[in-house]
Amino acid sequence: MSSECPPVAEADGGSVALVGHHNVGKSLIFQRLTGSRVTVANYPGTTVEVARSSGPSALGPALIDTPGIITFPTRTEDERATSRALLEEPLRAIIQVGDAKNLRRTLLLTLQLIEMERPLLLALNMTDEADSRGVRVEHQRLQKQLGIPVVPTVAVRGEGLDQLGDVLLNSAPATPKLHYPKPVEDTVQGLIPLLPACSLSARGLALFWLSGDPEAESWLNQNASAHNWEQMIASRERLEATLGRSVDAVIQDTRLAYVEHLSATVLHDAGTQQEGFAAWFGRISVHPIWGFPVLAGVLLAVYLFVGHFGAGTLVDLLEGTLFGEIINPLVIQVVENLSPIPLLTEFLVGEYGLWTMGITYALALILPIVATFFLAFGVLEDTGYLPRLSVVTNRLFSHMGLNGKAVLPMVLGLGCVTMATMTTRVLENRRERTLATFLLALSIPCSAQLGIVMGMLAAVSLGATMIWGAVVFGVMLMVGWLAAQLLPGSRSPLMMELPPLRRPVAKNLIVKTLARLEWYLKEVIPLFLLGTAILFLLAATDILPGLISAGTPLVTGWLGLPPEASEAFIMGFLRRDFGATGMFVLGSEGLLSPLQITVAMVTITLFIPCVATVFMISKERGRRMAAGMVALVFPLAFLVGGLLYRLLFTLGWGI
Amino acid sequence: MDEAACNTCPMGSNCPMVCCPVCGYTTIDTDKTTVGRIALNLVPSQNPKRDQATLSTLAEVPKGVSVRVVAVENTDGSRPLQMQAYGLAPGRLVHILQQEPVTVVRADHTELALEGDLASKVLVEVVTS
Repeated sequence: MSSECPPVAEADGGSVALVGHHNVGKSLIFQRLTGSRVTVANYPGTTVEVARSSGPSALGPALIDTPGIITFPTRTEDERATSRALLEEPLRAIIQVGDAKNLRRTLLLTLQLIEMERPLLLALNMTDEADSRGVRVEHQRLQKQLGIPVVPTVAVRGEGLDQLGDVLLNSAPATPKLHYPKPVEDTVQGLIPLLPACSLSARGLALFWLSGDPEAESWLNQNASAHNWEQMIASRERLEATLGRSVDAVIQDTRLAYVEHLSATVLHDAGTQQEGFAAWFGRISVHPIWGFPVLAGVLLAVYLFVGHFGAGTLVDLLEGTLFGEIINPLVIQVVENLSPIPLLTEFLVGEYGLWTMGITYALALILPIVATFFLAFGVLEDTGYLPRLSVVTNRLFSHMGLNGKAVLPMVLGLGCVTMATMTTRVLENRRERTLATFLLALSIPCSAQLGIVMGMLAAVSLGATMIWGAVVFGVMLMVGWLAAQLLPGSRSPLMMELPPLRRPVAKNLIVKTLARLEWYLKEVIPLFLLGTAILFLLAATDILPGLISAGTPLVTGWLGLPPEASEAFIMGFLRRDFGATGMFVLGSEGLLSPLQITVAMVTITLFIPCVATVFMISKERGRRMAAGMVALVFPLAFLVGGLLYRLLFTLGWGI
Repeated sequence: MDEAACNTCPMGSNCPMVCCPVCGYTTIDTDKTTVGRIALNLVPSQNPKRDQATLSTLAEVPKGVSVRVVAVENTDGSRPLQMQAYGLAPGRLVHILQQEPVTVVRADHTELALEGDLASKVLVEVVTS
């Protein structure tokens, strides 16, 4: 009895974990069962945290949604969160969401989950797609063979979901039927008394560890006694010596053979391929030649939607009309009447007022731009286009020591660099995450800034825009290449599933966009307000003029800009769009020549990221790395700006 | 790494070389030397000629052809395990969709994109349909 894990409390508490591959509809099922807002995404890594239902779900116990995995052992930071959840959660039961048309892949994972000996339910999702490809699974027969309930579902239509609760909670713990070669089984028996207690069965935990999972390795290292851990390691070494191969390979081979055996009886595949527009578009979007025009078209569409509609029409409406003419005058009047202290009035509605600057910009300028961006990005995700974007851009990223997977954080960075920094978790090793974070901080302009930058450059000439684009892009490539040479470690080659292109479901898209906006408002806006308050303090205590004059030799002498531009740079640290807007104000007062505008825009784009991003980098990569990046980006931005100034001046362009 | 090999070597144990104590084969540890790493990346490596028997790798098969996977080369880490989990497992039928800009194949009803480096680790035999 001491060799068994203590049973999880049957009556209350505990949670049900949703586990499965990427792109199978797991997050959608989570959302339907909990009713709470959660991001539903097609591109791996969007569920960066383990999402949890607050309180009981439709099933009873709390439901947790885990990041998609390929198999155990897990690899990326993202996937390891799933291993961690299985090890540390008080698991009541597990629901695996599987793709009905890819039964073999699904069953490989099912076998691994069965071994954990918790009640398990397999929800075979997307049966509609399976049907249209001539794939039929005899789920009743499969149910009998596996000994666990198998429920076909079509999550996008909500079919089959109502059964999940009853079926799951009435089912008994799964019993594994698969036996491994004798040396493996003997070793597992020997390990059982050494293992610490957890939700998983002892045998399941032993196999989980032997199959090479790094999270299991570190969890056992921490939780087993030092003596037991030594014995476990010795045990594994003896086993591998006996087998002559690594034990994780032997385990997987056994499982793969059993999967073949199962599939032979229950899977009927006519092998029909997907036809129609979606299939055709899917093919040309990764075509070696036509993939690029498709990419250009998609980028153009996004630019028009976010840049013109969002940054233009919506911002004019909100900032000009709603806030400018209606709300702000009212607020200013109210505060002026009610506020006892002039300083307080100034703090709230003055030049650097919390309301007039902070909140107005947050809601009138940034919110519409970010909202349109999230909507556009959501469409890219839900259609399944993003992985194909990785394929087309892979070669480009390989020059920077990255692979196509980096396209996700880079493109998200065009919306908000703070959020994109968090998404670098999907990259496979630390070197890539560091590289991507650095390039994001250096060269990706966020949407708030981008709108103003493009507006200013467009007012000058197309040539100015092209110079800006070429310089920023060139810097990204060169610095990326250099950093890739200097950082230790190697690049991981691209391997990524291309899910079929699907029509996005409007409701999911809107829910997802709203969830992201909620995140944005809660996480990023307070930091913006903090920035405004700091700026107010600097101005009120008269430090600001001092800082401005301190920056003058750099800004005027080296960059060739008027002294007032120094203020814009300082503000640019607190809020990136402040920097651009500051320049815009100077430009509209006729104080800047085309040359100066171009140099200013390039420098502003390359300049250090806003305070919110620096905080995020400290959180994700550590404070030393954040400090190091800031220390590198600052001089680099000014160096490039100054060189560009001298080059264009010598050529006599735009003086 | 076997420390015994470093003890008898006149260079001592702080040099960036990795030496096999059995056969004496040496290579550089790219984590310990920046210059070495840059040089390694810049100098193109010679790929040894393989015996052109009936087997080829996934990277060499032209598009439109179906193959059966024979084996996945044992590289480091969990990469081979993941490739097999995707469907590139011995005995499975795989269809080549394209080789440029990356290799894209179909196993069951999964489309998988992988770079040539990885595709060349999968040994396959062509299926004459």
